[in-house]
Order: sequence, then structure tokens, then C-alpha cells
Amino acid sequence: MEFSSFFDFKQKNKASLILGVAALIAGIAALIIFQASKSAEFTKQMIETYRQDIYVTAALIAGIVLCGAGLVFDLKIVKYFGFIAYLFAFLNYIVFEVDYLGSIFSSIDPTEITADFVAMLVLLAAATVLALISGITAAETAAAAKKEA
Amino acid sequence: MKKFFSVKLWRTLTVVTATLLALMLTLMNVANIKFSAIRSFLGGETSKIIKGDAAGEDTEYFKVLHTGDALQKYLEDVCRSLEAEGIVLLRNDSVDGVPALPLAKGSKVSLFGQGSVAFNYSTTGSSNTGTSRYPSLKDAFTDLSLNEELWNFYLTGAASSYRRSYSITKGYLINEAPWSVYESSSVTNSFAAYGDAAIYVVSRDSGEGKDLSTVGSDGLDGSYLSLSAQEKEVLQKLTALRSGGTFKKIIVLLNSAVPIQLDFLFDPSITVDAALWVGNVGSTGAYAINDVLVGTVVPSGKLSDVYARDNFSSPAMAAWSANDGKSFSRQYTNAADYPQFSKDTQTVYAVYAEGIYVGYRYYETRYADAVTGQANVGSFNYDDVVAFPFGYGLSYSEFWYSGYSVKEEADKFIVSVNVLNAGAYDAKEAVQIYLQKPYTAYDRANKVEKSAIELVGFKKVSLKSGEDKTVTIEIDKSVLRTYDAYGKGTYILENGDYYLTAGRDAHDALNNVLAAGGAPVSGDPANVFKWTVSGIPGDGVDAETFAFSKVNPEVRIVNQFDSADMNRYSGRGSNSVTYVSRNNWTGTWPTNTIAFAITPQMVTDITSHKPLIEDGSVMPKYGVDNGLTIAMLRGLAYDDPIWDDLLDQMSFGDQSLLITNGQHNTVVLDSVGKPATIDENGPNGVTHSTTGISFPSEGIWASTFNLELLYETGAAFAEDAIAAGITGLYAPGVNLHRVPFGGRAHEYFSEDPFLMGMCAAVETQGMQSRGVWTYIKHYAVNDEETNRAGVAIWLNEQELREIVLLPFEYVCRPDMGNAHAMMTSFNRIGCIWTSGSSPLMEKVLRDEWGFDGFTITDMASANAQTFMVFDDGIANGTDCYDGAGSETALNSYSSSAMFANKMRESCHRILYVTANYSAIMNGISSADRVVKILTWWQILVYALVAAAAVLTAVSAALYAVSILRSRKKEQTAPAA
Repeated sequence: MEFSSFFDFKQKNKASLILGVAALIAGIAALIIFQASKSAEFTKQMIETYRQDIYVTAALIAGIVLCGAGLVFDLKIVKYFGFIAYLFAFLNYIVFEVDYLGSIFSSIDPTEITADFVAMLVLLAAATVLALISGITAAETAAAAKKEA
Repeated sequence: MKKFFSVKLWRTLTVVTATLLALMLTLMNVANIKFSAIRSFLGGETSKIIKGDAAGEDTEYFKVLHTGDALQKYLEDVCRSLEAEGIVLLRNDSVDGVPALPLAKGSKVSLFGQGSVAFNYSTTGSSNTGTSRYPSLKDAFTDLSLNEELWNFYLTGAASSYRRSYSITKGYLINEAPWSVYESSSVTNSFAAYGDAAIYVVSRDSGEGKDLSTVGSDGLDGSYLSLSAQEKEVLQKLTALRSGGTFKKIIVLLNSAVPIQLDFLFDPSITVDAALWVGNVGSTGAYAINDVLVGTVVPSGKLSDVYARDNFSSPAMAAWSANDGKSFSRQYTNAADYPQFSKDTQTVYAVYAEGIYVGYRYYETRYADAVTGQANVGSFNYDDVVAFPFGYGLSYSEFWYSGYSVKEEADKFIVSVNVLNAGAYDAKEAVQIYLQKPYTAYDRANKVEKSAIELVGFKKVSLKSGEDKTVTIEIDKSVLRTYDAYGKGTYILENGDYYLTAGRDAHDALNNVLAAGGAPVSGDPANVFKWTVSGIPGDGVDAETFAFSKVNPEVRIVNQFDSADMNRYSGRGSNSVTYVSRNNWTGTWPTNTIAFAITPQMVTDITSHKPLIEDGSVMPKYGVDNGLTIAMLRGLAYDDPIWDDLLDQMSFGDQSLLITNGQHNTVVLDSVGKPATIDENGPNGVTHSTTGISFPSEGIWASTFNLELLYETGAAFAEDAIAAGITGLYAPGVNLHRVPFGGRAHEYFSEDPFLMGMCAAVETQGMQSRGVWTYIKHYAVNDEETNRAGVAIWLNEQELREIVLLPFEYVCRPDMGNAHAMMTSFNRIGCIWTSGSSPLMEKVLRDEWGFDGFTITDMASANAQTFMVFDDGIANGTDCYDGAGSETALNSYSSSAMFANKMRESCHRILYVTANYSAIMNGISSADRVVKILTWWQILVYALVAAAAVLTAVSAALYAVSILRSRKKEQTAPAA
């Protein structure tokens, strides 16, 4: 059985727990910032024509739920799926902002990098990496525990 | 088996493959959203032709004359010819009794200035081309012996770190090396051995998206277009070296698409014996400079813009100077009260306070008023502000005009003048015909402005030394019209004296007219024809003769743009503007900031998504199977009823996709047999060209004054495009050189609407002759770049029609350029986005000018998406969006019959143009079917997604089996 008892923190890997909580918080913060800043001048087409915002939102929510579930249930695959959901959110956020990025990199119209964009990149990257490390840490701890047993 | 069903193994593989799947799904998403942009890089066929039985049908609708190496050579030759004929010789003083130019072949010369090694061939933005393979001046100056040490000094030596630069924060900088850098190296020792001439290259950049710096640069007056202190110092040192005999002469090359301020050519501390404006030269234009320097080619270019001694001396620049930072635009004074508006795209505005007095029209008109002693001219000395007039250009030869005569016919004047090449060189001369219209009491009372001189005709003639020819130029009488926005509200003709004159340039022409009127100036009255109108009764104003569309005579031309003129806008509130008037130069001169505040009506007009008002039309049919293709309808009139049957075959999704997904393409549609097209930038060269060729900046095109050559250039341009599979070009640009600092001047021809309109019309004819449609851009009033996305342009209708729109009219009218595609602009006209302006998109473009093509927006996936909305554009005559739309993009409007019919009409236009005017139809007969296929890279992406999905599913399944086996094993294992 891979289920552990509810909130049985003693038996859980503390590092994985902390990383999981951090990933959860980063994901929630990213979701809040995204909802507040998504309607910018460069992204109207992505929202109205391609509903790309829904992909990002859904993936973020999935990541948050899976990260939360990973904290509650000691099911390592759930932690990994949290990572995949965050990764999907991260990649699709890049797609969501592709017109904005194109404007920055083409250096035609003087478009500057905004704080919203940087915050989203940092939070999404953090959530993704933290979720992945949380999963790996949990798996290693479980393997070590199994070996000891 | 034990190891195979390892839980850890399959958990890891499930995670890895699921991660891969996430990546591939994202890639697929990008491939769908940015299909056309990716295709423009990767290529790939989007359709295949299923051949039918069409025996005997000739499907080579458009022919190209050059391919492969022959095409490369052809393009290189055209570029070189264009530059050769466009180079303008501004000064050629005698040195020891001999003109400074041409140089003897083999002359030993020293090239100065960072521009010598960082030469300007092209620019950024839509005219960007790869220039690394273009010849350097060292490569190109094959008839001269160059100072290698000095060359290396700039290229890799002590001056190599000094280069022009641009950044968002600092703007444009010149960054020329000071003379101390020269002195600190041994390079000065090399000068004497290469002292036949010091050639100083003054280069300036320009680019899309940002105007040139008026302040904060390192030019002497703070602008980018004046000399920097370092440049001036070097020229002064060269002058001293010339005096000391180290150099025999000093030659300046102006390597810039934008007009460099030329006060330095008249600075007593600097000696310049010869000066050439060479523009941006394109891929092989550098060879033409060599040809001109040594006299293989005799310069024949005439300035397509006035060159000033003070670039801030025009009324338009006076208005800029009154704004903070000498900027083109500013915020509405109460913009902060409207937080619902974007500060970047909804609350920025600019005022064209100069009226019609753009470029030489200002300088020459004020000069005329000063000479004739008109009131309120103020202190104005022409020579203090103008360096070289519009149309000016010297030759190594000399031309004499005689026998000037004008014959009047019903709709035109036929001007004849005999031109003798009295010099020692075979050469070309551009004969220019100018017009002066009467400035009447009615004009003064009704705020009608008249330029004292304006170009109305020209022709270039080639003459051997000693040869003479009679040059005949037809002048359409429509040039006599004047737009009267405040009185009659249409084009008028007035009683008074009209003068037609042959002038060497605008100033010379004006002096001819002034001399004919008895003014004490050095003009030639023999080259003037006076035509008097006296029979108009009443107030002496005829508001009928030119008040009807030339193309659609039933359409009466009336004011359409009161809403763009703050003095006539119904929602103006307390806003107003004083336009510059020759009736009172000093009293109307822009001295203060023109401050506008947002009014309640402006809030409504600025806001996007205007109500869609039903017009009683009924919903069109969709998805009917009539068995038609656009190839079957090729050659049929636009209003042939069978087009309705074809349009009935389209689904709503088809129409939505065709209209909204126009980014560098028009999409393939099975339902009507339409192949996809690829469209590309730009006015100076085909982006993604297979030949890598680009042409000089458009100002050089115009300065050739050679319409035959520009037709040839258009054809060459089109053949380059077709070689790359491209059948639509976002060119030519016909916005105005309204001020010297416009960032995109390299894509536009001139400050003069007539010259620009004629040049662009023949270029368009040349391009379309090969089956490449031209998106004339940017319609309209996109004459500056900074804040272009959403900036509101306020101007009066006389300037709009006579100066801004005239080139568009010439290019679009079926009896002139007959263009079949048009690109709109990012900016607003008044409060309304240009693409959402029915007067601009429908009443003027289609009703008055008879434009039969389709319109596309500027890039709709940039920073203007909040106001470049589908409903505002399509409902007002915009046909296509330069964006990445979809079959569902217009679903929100599907319930509006009015909107549905607008969509249908837009599709009709795109399909009509494709069927009749695109080389993409070559090879497609009326019996053939066009079927949509996936491109190779779409197939690859879908395959990768499928592979990742299968691997993930297999891994997940085996992971589940492993868990079950593990649990079973645990259950069956004996207790420890």
C-alpha cells in the first residue's frame, strides 16, 4: 500500500512536504496573478479566439489540486502529475504570451518586459521545479524506507 | 519478468512519457495557433491540385521572365540601376578649376566615418533583410584605390568600437569617433598617400516602430539628424588637412533614408567640395556609388524631399517642438480620468496643425509670400532654413531648356519643352512641371490653403552629349482641383490665374512663376504658361467640375472626415486647433502645445465594439453544394451573379477562417477551390527571398523620377517574390515623409503626394503584371511610428485628401495603379481606428476611388489587439486580419445578418482578387479541384503527439499492472 494515514507527518518526508507546500503556494500565486493580468493588449486574440487562457487556468488548477492531493495522500504518481500539470501551464503560458514575446524579441515596437510577466514566469517555473523535486524526494525517501524495512 | 513489472520503472516511464505528451500537445497548440507564421519559415504545401479534364485551357495566367541565376543577375542589375539613377548630386564645386567629381579612375582615396565600414543598406522592421553578403564599399569601389589602413582603423582598429546604436531607453545614437582617436594611432600617416580625396560617409539609421530621436541623441542640436560634435570635428580637421594639401578635395556621402540636417555643408569652418545623397543602397547599390564617383554613371537623381538647414523649421516640427520631449504625440490632458482606457492605445493623440504645408509646400509658399510682400509673413529667410529644395539635383552635364509651350485639351494640358544636353557627358535629365494655383479672397475667407508651387508632372529623358529632344508631358486637369472642407465641402475650381512651369526644382519653378508676375527674383518667365479661369459666376467658385468621382461619376464627393478635424467634430467640447495658414503665417504658427481633453462623445468613439446595427439584410446561405471553384469564375465581373452561388458554398467557419487568419497568408479553402497564398514584407525587399536581394530605400526610387524604371523594379520585385513562392507583398508604402524624423521613411517615397502616388502606381502595375498583389500600406495617416498603435491623428480634410490620401488614390484607382490589395494602419483617424472607419474604408476607398481589391489590417497579433477588433473592422469594410484567427473566431457575431453579409462580401473580395490577380492560380484550370492537405511539419507534430500519447498510455497501463502485481505479491507473501 502506498497510502499513508491522513496528516501522518511523522511518516512523511519533511523535505517533500515543504517542497510540495511551496509548489502549491507558487501555483496559487501564479493563478491569482494570471487571472488579474491576463487581459492585456497582446493577449486578446489568445483569449477570444483560442481560449488559451482556459488551458493555462485549467492546468494551474489541476497542478494545485494535484499538489494538494500529494500532500494529503502519499501517492507519488500524484505528485508527479502535479509537476506535469504545472509544466503544461508553464508551456501554455508561454504560448499565451507569444505575441508579446514576439514583440519584445523583434524589437520593432518598443515593448518592455512587465513585472506581471516576470512574476508569472518565476512562479510557474518555481511551481514546476518544486513539484518535480517534491515527487523525486518522496520517491527516494519511500525507497529508502522500503529498503530499511 | 520481475524486473519488467517494476513499479518504479513504469512510474518513471509514465512520468517521462506524460511530460513528453505535455510538450507535444503544447507544440501542437503552437502549430495550430501560429500556423501561417510557422509556414512562412518552414514552408510546406497546404493543398494539392486534383487535375480535371481541361484540355486546351491555358493556365499560365502570369508569366515570369527570369529564374535561377538569370533572376539573380536581373535583380542585382535592377537594384544597381535604381541606385544609379536615384543618387542625387547636391554639390560639385570646382577644385583648381575642375569640378570635384567625377574622380579619375584609380584615384587614391581615404574613406572616413564609421559609416564607411558600417554602411547602411537596409533597415529594421518590415524592410529588414540580411545584409551580411552585400558588398562593402571596399568591395564596391573597384575603380578607386582605398586607404586600407584607414579602412582597418574603422573596421578592426581603434575606431572599431564606435558604431551607431539604438535602444529603447537611449533612442538613436551616432557615436562617432572623436579626432583624438585618430591622433592616438598611426592612421594619420596614411592620409597623404591617399589624398586624391577624403570621402566622408555620414550614415543614419531608421527603423519600424520608433521615430528618430529629436532629443537625447548626440547630434549637436540633440537630435539624431544633425552632425555630432565628433563628426563636425573630423570634418573640420579634414578641412585643415585639405588646406594643408594632404587632401585635394573633400566629398561627403549621405548614407541615410532620412534627411540629415545639412547646415554643416554651409558651415564656414567646413569645406565640402562635393556631396551626394545615396540613401540606403540595397544589395548592389554600392556599386552604383562607385560608378557615379568615377563618372561611369552621370548622376541624374532629383531630391524627393526638401533638405533643410534646420530640421525643426517646418510647421509640423514646430508642433512637435511644443510637445514634451519634442515628440510627435501626447496624452489627452484628462486621460487619467479614464482608467478604462489604455494609456498606450486609447488616450494618445497627435495633431497635424500644418495643414497642407508639408515639406517644400511650406518653405516655398512662405518664400513666395515673403517675396510678394504678403502680410504677416514674419521674419523668414529661405536660405536660412532650406539647404536644397525639393526636386534639386546636379549633373556632370548641363541641360538647356527652350521652346516651352502648353497646349490645352478637354481634360489635360500637354506641356512641351526642348531639352539640350549642352555638356560633355551623355546623361539623363528629369524634366519637372510645377503648378501654381491662385490664392483667392474666397480661400482666405473659407480657410482654403494653396501651396505656392506643387509638382504635377515629370518625365526623365536620356540625351547624348550635344543631343536635344522635345519632351512632352501630359498634365491631367484634375491637378487643378482644391479641396474646400469648410466652404463648399468638395473639390473646387476657382477663377484666377493658374501657372504651369518647367523648373529644375521646386524653388526654381516658383521663381519662374514669380518672375512672370514681375517679382524681383531670378526666374525664367519663358518657361511659364498662364491659364486663366474667369467665367465662374457668383463667388467665382466652381463646386461641380471636380466634385464627382472620376471612376464612379454618380458619386458626389463630400466631406467625410469632419470627425477627424477637431474644429468640426461634433463632440469637440472646448477643444480646438489653429491650423497654419498662409493668410497669417505668424498668427497661426504652432508655438504652444495643442492640448485636447477627452469629451463624453470621444469616450463613446474611442471605445471599441461599436453596436452592430442591422440593415434589414437577411442571413446568407452556407454550405450549399453548387460545384463551383474560383478557377471557374476567373475573368467574370465582380458583380456577376454566379459569385453568389460560389459564396453560398462556404461555411460560416470557412469565412471566419479566411477573414481572421490572414497573417502573411490567405488560407486554403476546399469549399471553393481556393489555394493558400503566402504574403510577405516588405517595401525594400522580399523577406525570405531566395536571392537575398533588397532594393534601395524608397526615397531613392522616387528621386530617379523615372517611372519606366520603377515599373521594371516592381516587376523584378515580383519575380523575386514568386521565386520564393510568395504571391502577395506588403508593399509599396505610401505614407508621407511628413517630417524628417519619421522612423519608417525608408519605406515611403517622398514628402510630395503626387510624386509618391505616381511612383507607387507604376511599381504596383509592375508587380501585378507578374501576378503578385500589392498590399498598399499603411492606410492611412500612419506617417510616424512612435505610439503608432492606437494614436489618434487629428487633421483637417483638405490636408487629408490633398496630401495624405492622394498617393493612395493614385495607386488604387483602376485608371492608374489599379491595386488589388491594401493594408490599413494601427492608428486612429480622429477617435476611430482606421480600419473601423466607414468613410475611409468604404466611402472614399470604394465609392470614390473604385478600389476593387480587398483590405487587410496591419499586424493584428501585436500590441493593438484591444482596439483592432473584428466587429469594428469587418462591419466597416475591412476584409482580412493580419492575425492568427480561426473558424470560430467570429462566432460571437454569427447572429447578426448585417455582419454575416459583411463577412460574405469580404470573402467575395478576397476570392475575386485571388482568382483574377494572383500567380498562385497558375496551373489551376476550371476543371481542377484544390484539396487541403497537412504540411509536412503538421504531420510531424501530429505523429509526435500520437507517439507520446501511445507511450504514455502503455506506460500507465504497465504501471497499473505493476502495482497490482506488487500488491498481489505482498498479499501472498508469508508473514515475516
